[in-house]
Amino acid sequence: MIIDADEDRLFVISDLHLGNPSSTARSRLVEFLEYARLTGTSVCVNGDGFEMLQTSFSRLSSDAVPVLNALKRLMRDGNRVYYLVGNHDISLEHFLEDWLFTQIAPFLNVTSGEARIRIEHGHLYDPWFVRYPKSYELGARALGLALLVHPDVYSAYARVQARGAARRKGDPPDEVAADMLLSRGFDTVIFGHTHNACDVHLANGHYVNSGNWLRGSSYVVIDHGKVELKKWESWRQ
Amino acid sequence: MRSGETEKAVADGETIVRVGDAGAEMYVIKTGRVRISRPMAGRDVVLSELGPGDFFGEMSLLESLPRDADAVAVGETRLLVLNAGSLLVRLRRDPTFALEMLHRLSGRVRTLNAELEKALSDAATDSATELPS
Repeated sequence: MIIDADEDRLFVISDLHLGNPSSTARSRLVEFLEYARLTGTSVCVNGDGFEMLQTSFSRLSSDAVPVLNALKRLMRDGNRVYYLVGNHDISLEHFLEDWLFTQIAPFLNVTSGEARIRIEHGHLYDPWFVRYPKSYELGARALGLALLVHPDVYSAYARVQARGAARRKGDPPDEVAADMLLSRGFDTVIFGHTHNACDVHLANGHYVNSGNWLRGSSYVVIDHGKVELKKWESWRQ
Repeated sequence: MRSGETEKAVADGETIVRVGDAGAEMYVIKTGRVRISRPMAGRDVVLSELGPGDFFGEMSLLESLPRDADAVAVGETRLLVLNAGSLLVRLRRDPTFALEMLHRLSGRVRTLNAELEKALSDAATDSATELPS
């Protein structure tokens, strides 16, 4: 199991949910991965790359194959691909290592320049997922139907959690968790999971959320220790 | 700081723990570096130099035994200090910390095995050369 990596330059994307009926990620992702390949940049998929809770096999295979091929082209050119497991693709953990010929990790501690950066999906700090895993899974399956009405109920759920925390005069759970990890000597923590891209400075350091590709296209650039949240715009326009 | 965790700033060259001291805390390096050494055969042998994210002092905390090595700050250093209670709270709230500890401890066992193998091999070579021809 790898948990440490040295990377001068790395793109981080999360919550692609390939296979989800509401996902529009496929074509944008293939183009983005081609951009990574041509710029010689390694890529970290920070969890929930594939959808296992709210999908059909035909949808999953039609979405996944072009993206897996793009990832393989990226690796064939000598770039590295890291795949971190999230809560929607836990069951794929063992297959992915064979399909991608890459290593699956629970989280990644990246050294880039002088900076130490922690990349993790972040579901382990979601109070609902941790306390009631079975009801979380049932809820996630039920939300699959809601996704057909509104494309991103996850970010709405995260916003409700944040508002609940504010009412209790606390910080959102992802920020509390990020600050706790930062206190262990990381300069930046990167989570996904909430679908809400953000870039904030906490008491112990820098927290960035890589957002989602279900409908969005945010990504994080790590460049010699500098960490920046960006939005992918088609380079062919 | 949460649930008993504290932070400690130490100056360059300052001793953090000493061999034989009683100790009930472990330390995570936030910034700076720490040199781990042990007095052996009348001289100080450096075992390792640790950087941000590394931890030390866990042996005394986990086994309730005296310190097994000296730890000295190299440059201005900031540490996160965990006692038994705060370690347990940390492991519940920060579950990946346990996996990182196992990963690092596994690496240390591997290094020690390699050093032991080398020492045994050197000793065997020395005794072979001492044999009368």
